Order: sequence, then structure tokens, then C-alpha cells
Amino acid sequence: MAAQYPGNLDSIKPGDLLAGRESFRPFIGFHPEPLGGPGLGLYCKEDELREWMNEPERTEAEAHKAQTLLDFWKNRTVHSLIRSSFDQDMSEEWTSDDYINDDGASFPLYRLALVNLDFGRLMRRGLPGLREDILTRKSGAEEAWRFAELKGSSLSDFIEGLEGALDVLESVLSHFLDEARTLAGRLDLSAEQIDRAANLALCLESLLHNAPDSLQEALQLAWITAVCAGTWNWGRMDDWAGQFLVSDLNSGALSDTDARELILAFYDLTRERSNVFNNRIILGGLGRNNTEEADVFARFAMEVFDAHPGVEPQLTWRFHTESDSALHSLALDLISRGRSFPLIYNDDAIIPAVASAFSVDERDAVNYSPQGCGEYVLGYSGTGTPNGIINLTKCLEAVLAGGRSMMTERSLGPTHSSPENIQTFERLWEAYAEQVEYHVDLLARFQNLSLKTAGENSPFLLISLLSDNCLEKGLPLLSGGARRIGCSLEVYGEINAADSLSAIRKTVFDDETLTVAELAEVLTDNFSTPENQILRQKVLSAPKFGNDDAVADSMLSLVHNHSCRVIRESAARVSMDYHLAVIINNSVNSLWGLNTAASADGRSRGEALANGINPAPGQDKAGLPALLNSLLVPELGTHAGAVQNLKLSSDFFKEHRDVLESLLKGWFGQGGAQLMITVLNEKDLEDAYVHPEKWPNLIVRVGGFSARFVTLDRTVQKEILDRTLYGR
Amino acid sequence: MAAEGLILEIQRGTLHDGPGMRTTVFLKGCSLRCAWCHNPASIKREPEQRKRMQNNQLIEETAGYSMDSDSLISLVKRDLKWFSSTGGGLTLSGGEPLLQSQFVCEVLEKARSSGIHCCIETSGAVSRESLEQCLPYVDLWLYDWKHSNETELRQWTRANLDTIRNNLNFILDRGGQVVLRLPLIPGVNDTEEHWTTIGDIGKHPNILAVEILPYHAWGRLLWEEVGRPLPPDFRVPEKDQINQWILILENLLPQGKLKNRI
Ligand code: SF4
Repeated sequence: MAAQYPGNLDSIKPGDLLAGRESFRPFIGFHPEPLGGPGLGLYCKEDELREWMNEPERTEAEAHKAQTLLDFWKNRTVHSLIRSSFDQDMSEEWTSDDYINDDGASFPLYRLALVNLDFGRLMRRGLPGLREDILTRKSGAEEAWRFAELKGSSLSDFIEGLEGALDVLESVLSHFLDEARTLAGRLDLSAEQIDRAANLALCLESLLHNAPDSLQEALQLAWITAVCAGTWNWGRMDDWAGQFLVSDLNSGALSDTDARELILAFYDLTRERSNVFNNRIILGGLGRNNTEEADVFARFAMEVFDAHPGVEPQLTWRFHTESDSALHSLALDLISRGRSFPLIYNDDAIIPAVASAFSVDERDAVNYSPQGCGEYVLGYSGTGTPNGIINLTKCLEAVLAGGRSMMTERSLGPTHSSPENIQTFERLWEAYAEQVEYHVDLLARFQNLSLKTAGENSPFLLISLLSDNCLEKGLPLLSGGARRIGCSLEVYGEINAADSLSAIRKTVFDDETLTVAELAEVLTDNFSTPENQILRQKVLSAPKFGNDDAVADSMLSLVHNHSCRVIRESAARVSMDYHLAVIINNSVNSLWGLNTAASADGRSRGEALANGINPAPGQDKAGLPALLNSLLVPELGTHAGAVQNLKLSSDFFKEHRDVLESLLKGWFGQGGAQLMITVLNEKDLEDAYVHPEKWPNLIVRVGGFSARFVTLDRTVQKEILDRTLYGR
Repeated sequence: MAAEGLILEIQRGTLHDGPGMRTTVFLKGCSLRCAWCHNPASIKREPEQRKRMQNNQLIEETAGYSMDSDSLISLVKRDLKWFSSTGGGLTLSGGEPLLQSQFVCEVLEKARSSGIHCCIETSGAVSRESLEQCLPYVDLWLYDWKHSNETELRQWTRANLDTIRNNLNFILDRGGQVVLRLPLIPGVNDTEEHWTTIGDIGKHPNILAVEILPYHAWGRLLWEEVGRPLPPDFRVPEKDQINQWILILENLLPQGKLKNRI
């Protein structure tokens, strides 16, 4: 840590309100989750380093140095240590970790992701308080050792390590304090810049001696700590920062504008450090300690975001029946203006679901944080890193091709008998389940292996210090310190697998249009011949999830419940507290689509897999209420997050806001957990014009009548497009 | 035996055919021939072939299918929770729904007994019996008012103004709640006579709102789909002209009654 910080951080610029920009991303280092390569502690981004080494402007000496580093780290990174501990099944299944370019139905991921720090404790104790806690623990331990006659132990190493970690934080603060003082003395700067530098110096100095006492100090300490810990998420920021905001406003230390500028400065730091899959700020929700102050912060946070929109930080609004209605309305306002944020989460549905999935009581579940692309973690009371990915559509592909990939013919999972032998739907389901369970089991073993190996090599000191129980137990996070150890598993291709199974049941087993073996050939052929195109139309017309169709929706339930259940049950076999499916939104669904053959739902080879638990693009054709009914079908209490999307026209927000609000209220009241709402703007309409098949439900108003955009003549579509572009 | 109806299309989640989020059922068959008809596939009282664009491909399909009132109601009831949360319900539109009054009446009765709010959109060019039969079950009438001049109305739509006027009065007198809908076509019905008449009708307390539907050329293209000769090429009103109509109507109507739902 001392080697990395403050060295890796950028200098304060004139006018900065907060210090600690991090734009440098070293090839080699210690990080729970470095971007651009495997992590989990000591890492080396070999691909990036190799690329750098081969750039034409490299000198021979530089290239040589890079090669020496590559050789040195080859067997020393946690990633390589984990890989070298693979058992035979893992080595056979995962010949590569490159899930983007290589063919596979599952892949391991190497990281300690989605970590939340206990910012509340950091704020209450400050650095001096934390040091005191460590010392108290140390003297207590010394007594215990004498008593039990324990000698030379990992405990003393750990305690020393924690002290060292605090030293690093202090040295970072001191480093920036020097910088700020220098800036404050520069005559070439404007009065305002000098003022800001002087204030920043006061703030940094105070943090060296006291717990934070102002919003600036709170934000500064949180930032520096998270950057040095290598974490990307901000937890329940309204709760830990709200009281500082309110007391600064009340005392007049900050004006309304000052406070907004500070929050914006924090947003800017997250934007420069950029990690679009993380950077969550959670606002609202049950279980906050300082509800009133937190609500004030939530309002500021949303308003600042609204005035300065961006893709980060990912504002997240947790709400429930008792939430402040003005804040809830503000959240919807932001969404209606096309801000994409906040992402909204319904506590009333999620808290019981989290309690059930994680097997914890509601007092713990209340601190769930939606992180990353939609995975819930239990605050700072345990790990929840998603260290594996599985593609259910690919699992079905493997079954239909006798245990092989249709893309490269490599073997996948357990060997299956040839497709000729699959004569009933039940037999098909068994084979599919067997394939899925094989990968889940492998991944569960891997998750355990990865955390164990990381624990043996990487103490993650700051994270341990600011996680439940580690200091009390005297053990680092992954070596028995964490209150709970668990992982999640990213599930992709759930919808396409379910719709494929529905289509197979109908065309193969009910209508007997073709056999399983023939279907496998059609899919391998990617529906290219005229006859196969006709078959594609047939499977496309089979029931699809998202249309309030009992057959398709219950197939989705079957697929969803099966994978969630087997993933959840695998935790006990590898002694984790939980191992849970997450069915999320990110780019893996499209990247993985590229390596997935045509599927029996009519999706062609290479086409993106459906995102989260949402209908396959263009397959929800029965209207919004039908879609909402279907979205309520998949069960909640067995996974750690499933992302559902809703695309609404901006008219819906503008002209029917009351209907929309009551509709959302109704949907969440029915048990809906979460929605990512996209408001269609001109760009979306343009996309609908170019790819109408993706927008079957887009309803537009034309001269007093509503019409489905896709059924309109091209000229009319164009006209609507133009009209909208004029801002009507 | 449940009555069968001839249906053109069912849309779930509509926002423009009455309050809240609704299911709109477009019934097939209409006795009028409005030159600007926006839904020509709904005119003929039997299924017919139509060619239409879907995903940029021309497809041929049968427009119109029959469905009995029980199946329709069970489909409509799937959205009960959304109706109750948004204050929505069922809207029967067309074509002219009241040409299938027995079916419509049965659907309305069943819907009402499930607590569903019911709207009917009608041209008013229908028999008194059909109105009377359905009246007890209708929460809100969406009543078209196409022209206020007897000769012109007949010329453009084949409708009889007296029938439409008398039927409207009948509904109002019997306490029916009405939203008056005005298709506005430049050069056809943007006349002094029309404005004054609307102003008069709009004073009735049971006329809850007046909505304008400015002409759009979109409907023209649909005529080709069902193989009918293209209707006259009306002028699409400019924004300025629409604003002018709004001003005129706002002056003539009680405050707040005019809704511009474009
Ligand atoms: S009343 Fe309606 S459906 Fe009938 S012709 Fe006129 S516009 Fe078309």
C-alpha cells in the first residue's frame, strides 16, 4: 500500500475542493478489483503490459524491463496462484479466462468486487479513533495471549498491518496537506483558488487529528480511504454524510451553493476515476440512522446530479411505503428527464427477499446495497463478490449438440448422449439441468478456492478494518475475519434458454414438426437455408416470456427457479455462507451472445442474449400491462438481484404523469422489486426507425391517435422522428 | 351461450381512450364512411385480408376475428390490478362498437360486475335501442362530433346529424357522462358554425371535457392496406393553426374543458 499511495494519486489542481484524483492505473499492484485484468490482491495486468511493451515508441530498455516484470509476476499474482490450484475438472473446463473471445458455458472471474466500507464507523471514529480501536484491541489481545500462553501469532501481524494501513492513510493526507499549503501560497492563483487551497489544507490537517466535523472533511476522508482500499462504492452515503451537510447548512459554514459544489466535486472525482459498473451511491430506504438529515442529503444528491448529469455516480434510490413522497417524486423527475438515474429499488419487496435468499434476519437484510450492475450485498457485513459467470443458453446449446459447443465443437460440461436419444421434454430438461448443475458446482468450488487463495496472500487491511467483525476477531477479511463469506454468480441467457425450451416443447414435442437432432442441425446452420428460415418463423411464433402468457412465463419460472436454487444450495457444499445467482444488466449479455450459436427461440447466432430478466428484444408484444404481469412472475427470495427494465416514452411522463406514478406504485405494491426505467428520447426513436424490430411496444401519438411505431409506414415514422426532433 | 363479437384488435395499456391505463378493444364494422377515417380496416363488418408493414416487411394477414364475451372478459380481467392502481378500465371502440350492441352489452355487464370502469367510443350514428341497452353500464362516453352542418356531415361521412344530435342529448339527459371528441380537418370542419355549435354543446354539465384530434395523414396509408381507393388528400394542419383552433374553442367553452391531446 505504501508503495502505491500517495504515489499513484494525482496532484491537487488549483480550485479543487477535494484531493485525491486517481487517474493512473498501474499495470502491477495490489488491488481487490483493478480494472482491465484479474485482481484479488497482487495483480499484474499481463495483456495490458504486453500491449504497452509492444508499442512502437518503447525503447529496448523499457521493453526489457516489462518482460522482466512479466516473468517475475507470472507465478506470483493471486490470479496465477488460483489458476495453479485448479483441480482437473476446472483445468479441463476453463482452458482460458477470456470469456469475451473464447468459447465456454461458464468462466471464473478473479476479483474482490462490490465491497462496501463501513463509512459510518469511519466518520464516527476518524483516523485517530480507528487507531485507538486498534490499540485497544491490541492490548486486549496481549492480555489474552499471556493468559492462554499463545505465542507469535497471525494476530499480531494483522494488528501491525492495520496500524501500517492507517500510517498510509495519514501519509496520503500529509502529502496532500503539503500540496494544498503550497498552492495556498502561490501568488499566480486567483483569490478564490487560494481560498480553496487554504480551506482544503485546514480540512486535511484536521483529519490527521480528529474525526470529520464538516461535509468537506467527511467527503475527503471517505474518498481517500476508499481509493487506498481499492473500493468503488459509497454505501448509504445519505446516512453517513447527511448529518455533516445539515449541520454545515445550519451553522452557516456552508451555503446551499457551497454544499452543492462540494457534492459535485465528489461526483467529479468518481467520474475521473471512472468505473461505470460501480460507483453506487445509495439514497433512501429503511434502516438509516439519521433519516431526516439523510433525506436532506438525498435531495441535494439528486438535484446536483440532475443539474450535472452523467453516467456516474450511479445514484440509487431505495424507497418504501413510508418514503418521503417529495423525494420519490424527485427521483421520478430525474428519470423523466432521461437521466437514467436514480435506479429505483423497492425495500418492501427486497428486504424480505434478501433475508430469505441470504438466510439472514431482516435487521441485517435492511442494509442490503444494490451494487455494481444490480447485485445485492449485505452492507459491510460480508463479501458478495460475483466471481463466476454462466450462460444458460449455452448450456442448452451443449445439450442439443451432445455435450459440445455448436460454435467450436469443444466439449462443454458433462458428456451428453447424442440428441437422437432425447425423445421427451422431460429427458431434455434432465440433460439441461445436469449441464447447468455441473457448471454451478464447478463455479462454487472455484469461488471458494479463489477467496481462500486470496485470503492466504492478501489481507486487504483497510477493507478488513472497515468491515464487520475483522478487528474484533483479529483476523483479516478472507482469513476468517469477515462476518459472512459469500459470493454471487452472474447468470446470463436465462430468458433465451427459457424461450428456447418453450419453443422446443411446442415445435418438437407437441407439434412434432422436427426432432431434437434435426433442430440441432438447424441451429448449427444458423437458420440460413430457406427451409430453416421457415422453421425460424415457427419457433419465433412460439410463446415468449413477457407477454403475460402462462406457458412461456411458467417456463421462465422453471428455468429461473432451477438455476437460483442450485446456485443457492451449492454454498453449503463449499462452506460459504451464501452463493447466489444474480441476473443483471451489463455488456456481457451482448459479448457472450457473439459466442453463442443460434438458439431455439429464434435468436440467430451472435445476436445478443436478453438482458437481466427482461423479454428478449422485440418479443414483448402484448402491451405494457402484459409485460408488467410477466415481470412479476420470477421468484425473488432465492437470488441476490435481478434487473428488470422498462422503456417508456417521454410523453408518458409528460402527459400522463399521474397514471405513471400510480402504475409504478401499483407494480411495486404487487411485489415488484426494482426497475430500470429508460425514457425514450429522440435518439431512441431514431433507433426504432433503423431497427423497428427492437421496439414492438413503442406507441406514439399520431394526430390524435396512438399507433405502434413499427406498424407505421416509413414516411410517417420519419415524420414522427422529425417532429420529435423539433422538440414536440 | 356467450355472445360473439367481431374484433379488429385489442390493445392493452392504452393511455388515450379514457382515464388511467386501459384495455381498448377495437370492434370491426362501421356504418359511416368518414373520408378521413383513421381506421379503415374497422369499417367492413366481416373479416378481410390486409397487407401491412411490419418490421419493414410487407405481410398479409386477416383483419378481424371473433371472440366470445367470456374470453374477452377473462383477458381484460388480467389487467384488473393495473386498472385499479391507475383508475383505468375497459374501452370499447371501433369501428362502431354499438353496431354489435348485444355483444357489447354483455361485455359491459360482465365488466361492470367485476368492478371495471367502462368507456364506449361512438360516432353516435347508431340506433336508440342500442344506446339505451348499454347506457346503464357505461361510465364514460367518448362521443365523436364530426361536423355541425347537416349537408356537409352527410357529404363527408354519410351520417345523419339529427340522429347524432338526438342520441347525444339522450345520453346527456339520462345522466351519461361524456367526453366530446373532435376530429379537426382543415377546410372541412373548421367552420364558424361548427365552433359555435361545439361551444353550445360544451356548456352542458355532463360534457366533462372536449378533446381535439387534429387531422393527420397517417390514416390515409391504412386505406391501401385494405385495398380501398385512397381518400382525398386533406391538408395536415400546422401547429399555428392548431393553436388558433385551441384559442377559439377556449373562448367558447367553459374554462378547463378543452383538452388538447395530440
Ligand atoms: S366513424 Fe370512425 S370508424 Fe367509422 S368511418 Fe368514421 S372514422 Fe372510420
